[in-house]
Amino acid sequence: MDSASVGQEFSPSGHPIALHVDDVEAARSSLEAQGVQFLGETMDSGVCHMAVFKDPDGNSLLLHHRYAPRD
Amino acid sequence: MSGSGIGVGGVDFATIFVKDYEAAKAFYGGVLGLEHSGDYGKIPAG
Repeated sequence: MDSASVGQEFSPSGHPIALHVDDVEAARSSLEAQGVQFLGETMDSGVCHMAVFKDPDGNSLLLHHRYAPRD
Repeated sequence: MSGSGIGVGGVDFATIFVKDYEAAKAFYGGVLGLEHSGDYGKIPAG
């Protein structure tokens, strides 16, 4: 959403929206091949993999895949 | 997900504010492969 159109001063969001993918490393490699830069290494939380990147305006996003079964 | 006391049934959408809407469309659609559901009237959003 264009922030100026709703009278909102733009400020990039540091709260990432998690995008589900089946394979975080494959998705990361694909995006890196298209010039997307990631922040740090892919993280393993013990239940999921996550990789953080930003959109062209600096909003945080992350690739996410949970590999552990849900309780 | 259980319902809240006010009867929330789910999340309808999440808003991501951008400075350059056309660049955002190219990134979310072209690079990330997300479907562009539509443009909403006078407010550049989709």
